[in-house]
Amino acid sequence: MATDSPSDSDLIARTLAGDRGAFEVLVRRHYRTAFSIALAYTSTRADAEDVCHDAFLRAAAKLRDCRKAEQFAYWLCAIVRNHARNVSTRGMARRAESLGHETVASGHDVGRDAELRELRGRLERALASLPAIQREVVLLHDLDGWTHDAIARVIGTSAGMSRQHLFHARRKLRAMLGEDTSKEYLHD
Amino acid sequence: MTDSPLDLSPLDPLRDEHALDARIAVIARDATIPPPADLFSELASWARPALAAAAVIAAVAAYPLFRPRPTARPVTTAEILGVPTAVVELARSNTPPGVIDLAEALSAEQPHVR
Repeated sequence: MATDSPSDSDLIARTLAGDRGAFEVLVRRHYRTAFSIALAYTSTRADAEDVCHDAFLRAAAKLRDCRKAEQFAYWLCAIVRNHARNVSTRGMARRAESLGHETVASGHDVGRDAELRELRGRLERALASLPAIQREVVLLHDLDGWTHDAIARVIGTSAGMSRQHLFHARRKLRAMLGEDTSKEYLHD
Repeated sequence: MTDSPLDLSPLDPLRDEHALDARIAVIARDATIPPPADLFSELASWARPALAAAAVIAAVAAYPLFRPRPTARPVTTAEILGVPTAVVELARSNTPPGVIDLAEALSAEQPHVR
């Protein structure tokens, strides 16, 4: 993140003053974090995207309640987790207004798209076999790049416990997926 | 190395910028952002917690007034008249007392008290 980019506090203040563009920046900045937590509890990308959508709407509606704007990420994480837990316990019907598709990122290369889709499916199935707390830690750490201190704050434990969760999660995932999972398959 | 990061990038929602743009646009479109607060709405936001606190205080203050009090045991006529316990027990028994029993009961000092 560039140092001259607006802080979360600035974006929240601008959003509350009616600037929807500022809210878009805020959503984009925290989308991957929200998605990681949502995926930890829903286990499928499609449901995780729906949870993110709803969680950001809730966050927008309650934005004035976010007293410590500089800690917006933690506040958002709590909203996402609560909503994802509710959704995962009662099951989820896909949003009628679907964004349309199981999107793949690699443009028009059909073979690569199929490979990506297949790899996503394997990752989702492997993640689904982990306890939610391990999923949350491994996704926040390995997908979103969070530190153990920050993860510990979000999940309400110590950094040491976060490390343990990560260790066990990685070990189980590697056992299920094989070592080639860590190959940089689809990086351009 | 077993503890090196896993490549979870296939799950990254930021991989496909077009799809992400679409999702964020939908979120921004659907979001209801609260309007700027004025003085009245700021005061109104305090009304509910203030009322809740007042209700709790009223409930706590009113409790002693409506608290059920322990009821006293009913006083018998014998107690009011100071009849000795032994005489009361003789009167309650089905068999008529002998002269000696009655004399002992009447001579008892201790009245029937609770």
